[in-house]
Amino acid sequence: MDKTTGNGSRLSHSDPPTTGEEQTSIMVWKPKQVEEAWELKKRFGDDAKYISGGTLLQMQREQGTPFPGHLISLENIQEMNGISKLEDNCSDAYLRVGALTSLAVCKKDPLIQEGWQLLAESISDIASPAVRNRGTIGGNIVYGVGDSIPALLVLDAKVSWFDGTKLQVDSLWSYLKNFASNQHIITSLLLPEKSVSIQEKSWFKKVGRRESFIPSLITIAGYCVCDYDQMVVDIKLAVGGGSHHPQRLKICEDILYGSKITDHLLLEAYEAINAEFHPISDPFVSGEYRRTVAANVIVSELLTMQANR
Amino acid sequence: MDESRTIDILTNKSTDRHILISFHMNGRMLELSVEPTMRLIDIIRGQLDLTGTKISCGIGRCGACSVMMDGHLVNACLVMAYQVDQSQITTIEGINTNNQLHTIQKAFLEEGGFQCGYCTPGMVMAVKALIYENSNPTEEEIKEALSGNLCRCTGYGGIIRSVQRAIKEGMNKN
Amino acid sequence: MSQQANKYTRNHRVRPDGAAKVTGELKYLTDLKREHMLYGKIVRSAYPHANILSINTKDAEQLPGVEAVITYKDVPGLNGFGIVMPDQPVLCQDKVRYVGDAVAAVAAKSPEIAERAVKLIRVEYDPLPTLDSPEKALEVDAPLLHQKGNILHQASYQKGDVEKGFEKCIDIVEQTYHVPRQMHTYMETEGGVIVPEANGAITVLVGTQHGYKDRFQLSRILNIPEEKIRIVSSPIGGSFGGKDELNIQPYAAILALKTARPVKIHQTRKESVISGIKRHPMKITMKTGVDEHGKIIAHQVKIIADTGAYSTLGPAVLDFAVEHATGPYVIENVNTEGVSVFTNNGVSGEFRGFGGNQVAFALEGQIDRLAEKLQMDPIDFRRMNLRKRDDVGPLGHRIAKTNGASEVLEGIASLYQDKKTNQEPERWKKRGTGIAITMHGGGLGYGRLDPAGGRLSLNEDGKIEIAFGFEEFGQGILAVIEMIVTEELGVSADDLSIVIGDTSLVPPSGSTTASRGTSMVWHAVQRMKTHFTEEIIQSAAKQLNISQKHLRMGKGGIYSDQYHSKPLLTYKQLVKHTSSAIVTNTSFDFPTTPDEVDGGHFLYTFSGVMAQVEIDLLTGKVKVIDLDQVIAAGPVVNKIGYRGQIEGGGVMSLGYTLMEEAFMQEGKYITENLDSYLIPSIQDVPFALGVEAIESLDDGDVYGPRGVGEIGSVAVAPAITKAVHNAIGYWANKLPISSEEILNASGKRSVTSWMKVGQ
Repeated sequence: MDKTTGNGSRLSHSDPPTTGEEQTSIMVWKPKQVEEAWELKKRFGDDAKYISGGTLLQMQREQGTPFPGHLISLENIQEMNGISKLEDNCSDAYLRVGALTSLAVCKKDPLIQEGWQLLAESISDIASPAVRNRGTIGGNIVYGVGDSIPALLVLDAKVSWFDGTKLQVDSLWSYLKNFASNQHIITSLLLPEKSVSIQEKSWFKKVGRRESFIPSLITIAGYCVCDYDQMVVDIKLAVGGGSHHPQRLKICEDILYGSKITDHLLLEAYEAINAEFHPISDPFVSGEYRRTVAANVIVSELLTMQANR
Repeated sequence: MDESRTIDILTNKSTDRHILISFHMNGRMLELSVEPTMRLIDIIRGQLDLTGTKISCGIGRCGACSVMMDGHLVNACLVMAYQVDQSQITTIEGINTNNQLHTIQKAFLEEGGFQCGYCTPGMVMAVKALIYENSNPTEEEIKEALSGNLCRCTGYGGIIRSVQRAIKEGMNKN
Repeated sequence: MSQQANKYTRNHRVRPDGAAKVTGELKYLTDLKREHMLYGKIVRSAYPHANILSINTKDAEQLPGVEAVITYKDVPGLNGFGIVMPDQPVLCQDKVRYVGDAVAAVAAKSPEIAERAVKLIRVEYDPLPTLDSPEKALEVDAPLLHQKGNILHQASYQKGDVEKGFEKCIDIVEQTYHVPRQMHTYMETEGGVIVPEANGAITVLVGTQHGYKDRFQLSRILNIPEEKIRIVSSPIGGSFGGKDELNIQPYAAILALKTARPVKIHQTRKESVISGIKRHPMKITMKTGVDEHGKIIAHQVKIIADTGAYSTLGPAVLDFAVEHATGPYVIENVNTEGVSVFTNNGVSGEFRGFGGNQVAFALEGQIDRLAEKLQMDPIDFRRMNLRKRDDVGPLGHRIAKTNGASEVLEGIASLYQDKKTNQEPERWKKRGTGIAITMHGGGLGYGRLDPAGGRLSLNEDGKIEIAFGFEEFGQGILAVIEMIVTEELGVSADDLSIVIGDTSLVPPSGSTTASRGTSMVWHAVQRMKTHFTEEIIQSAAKQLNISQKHLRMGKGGIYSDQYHSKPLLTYKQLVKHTSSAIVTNTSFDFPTTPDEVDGGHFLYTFSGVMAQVEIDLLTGKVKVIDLDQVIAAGPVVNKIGYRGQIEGGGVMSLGYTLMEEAFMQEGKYITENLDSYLIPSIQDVPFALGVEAIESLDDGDVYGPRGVGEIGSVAVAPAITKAVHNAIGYWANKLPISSEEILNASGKRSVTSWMKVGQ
């Protein structure tokens, strides 16, 4: 939209609210190989977008962002499908979740439910059953703001992506930090297996303006392991929500790691969250609210790990 | 699903950008020449004139256009023509057999699970998807299954009573 | 739901329109297609306030497939609409006053072409300062939105001397309340098809709440006689007051006349949000004082309503709010002043509750705050100040005698005793309970044209045809008609043909609004049944050669008093041999107060609401876990319909209280679709909602069952607000209740106190 340039200026407008079908000549490509998809994107550049379930792009189209001239559907790329266990050459074991796996399938998958419950839980809070049947886990990650990301961050998930020549693997955390936009094709998620500990706790909480089917105001995920002396031996905290890019709360994690959970420590943790997390304000809530809720939820969860609480 | 082999080819003015898609609609095989990015809802309502499926928000946030695609509930406003190719679509028109009301429809009728009726076809499809997967859902499961289908008239009271009745009647049958 | 014996509730019935709705077979007007039909689209303003310098439609007209483009030049008659004052331009000529103002419209062979065409229309604007609040619009140097100025309407009510009253008070509460712009959010957005007919006539297949009123308005705009306009207006996918005013009809009509082809317009949700009317946002300041006996003796009210850019029913909504500012309480000294102000925000108009919901939130808030100040039980405090059976109405006018206020209060008090749980919630959660009551006038009020009418006839098919000018938008008027007619005439549903929603077939009945439908159907049938039955029996007696006194109407036909198992004559046989038509008409007015009090109502309904909430102390989120209503509105006609209206109205107001706001910044909507304008989902409502009907009427009350379309929505917000206060001691003065304010109020920012809370 043109900006008003002051009183009396003549402004021309031809952009009434637009919706629905508007371009009539969009090509949809259905490559079978990642390489092929990459080539197509290179060929059409900004006039092309990758698409899989399409729930987000279709919504954006209705809201006025037209499709580019070319849509490159990833849905026929076999290697981006499936859920399977992987053992790498070290002792580490992973669950590989193809990026095309629908959110509904992820949520119901017995392996995910058993070993990575937090992911299943976070997916339950995404949109509605009908949308989850179409939306994919890759799609939820690739735009950098999905509600599953905080959960995946505390699960220490890795992603595998195609960079134009080969498949790369790195932690989701560093992928998100280094590659802001969806220039790459995320092919799968790798969920590391964890040894089960008695003194462990993980949590996921999404807060919206209604109980469900709502953009997140703030999403909080955490994972904490204590030894028998209430000493924190593993801690991961992540926050996200709305258009806020999810982040790990590293300072807070550092304060907690290696210390015994006490009221004093939690107070420090609370302050650390206030110091390192600077969420945005919007017409509905302030950044201050988002930060307070994040701190409240994290500290309340840790409190329950304290003895005799 | 009725596996009759009738193939209806609906002739549209084809352009070079049109694609030919074939899919089952309520058991009938259809072939259509359409824009690849045409919304499924526009195919259903516009091309096929099956107006039982409604359109309200257009962004997958109300559930009025809920249909089944390959046995799964989807929002017809979020699915595009090229994705429909080779699939099985069931709309509200396709769920009753021999002109008999489906158990779910009967329950909605008896319990007042609708008022203006505009969300009802989508709601019935969502209930069908729920009961198909889980014949005896808990309160939480009912709520989750219907969380994407908005109703402005009933306050959901009548809908909840309808679902409970449909579950009961379904179990009595078995 | 508890009931006393009532002839209407003997039978459990499904709605006549039910089967077609659950199967999806019912054709809504937005589902229709006609041969050679074109698709219309409306170009709305790019600015909330601007002068139009030029409108260039040339490129759009040249786009292949575009059949017509219209601007203000194409409006054949009056370029304006509005139920009371036609001050909203159909198509703006030189000025736009809100983002929903229409500037042009197109008709094309497909929706896609229409979409492209509207983008080719170039409008040059000279933006003007945006008056995005009543305060700004009331500033002395504010630009004038209308010739008369920026004040649409002022209304007031005085009783006693409020200043003197306050002097005698021992406690006074003064508070300003803010209520938001709520959207009707009918699931079916505005639309339909308009078909040109021979001789310049048109058929309008577009939902409305009052077909004859649309006919009148369109006649003015199109400059064609009313007789040439046929309005078909049911079924409708929800309205709640939102489709009473014209919406897309003028555009589709002008396009249809210009192209001589049927034109369909079906607005997208975003178009609906931008152009559609909303509930009036209001700022309400109340100062209320009590004497040493706990009696409220002074009540001062100031209401500022944001009515948006045009009048529609703004004046009547304000009058209603002023009337209901004292609710069901008897107060010696009252001073209420209201002003409804034009702004560049979305147009506000009719919405279920009609100004009552706004003032009920403020008034019940005052009552609860006073009770707290006096350390009195809120129920006892209400009891002490409540109106009694013989008391006059809130404007000092006589009303139908009713003990409803006390009945709902006692009803909700006993529920409160039974259901108030002290069950410990989870850690970091708190629960609370609140109640509220209200009274709500039905019909349009004294001094307003409020005619009703109906027609009973035996039609050619041998059906007893009952015709009303009412519309079915979900409320269940068809079921109400079926129930009342079958019970009053003793016939079966199969004997009936119910005709509504088509001006070519029905008599005028007034608008389907203001909770008047059920009431007016009952009154009409009472007036017609004796005469109609006599006509039928007379005719049957002639044919059968049996004395009239031995004959009676029944299921399927005419019976003799001797022989009960089968009718002597079916209605079909009767009509075959009847020489003259059997028709009974009635027309009458909605009952009003005998006192000359402008806008004063006569028939009131009452509700008592109990809400229980659970508050998440970590997030400030409020969840309603119990919502029960006790309603006094006379006999229940259709059990399912009644319950549905109360539950549905209740949940609509749960949304109003906790999440709904059509948020605007500088005259533009921030919430443009259902991803950001939130209505309750099934997850937001208690799994079981309670509805209790008090069906008794005052001895000698001849006015029958009252409509319940609105009453279930009126007192929910204050009950939830009180429940929040009961849980954490926080008084919300603004809706929707903000989680952020709850979090701030419960002092969770101080970690140490925060830690103590959960323990």
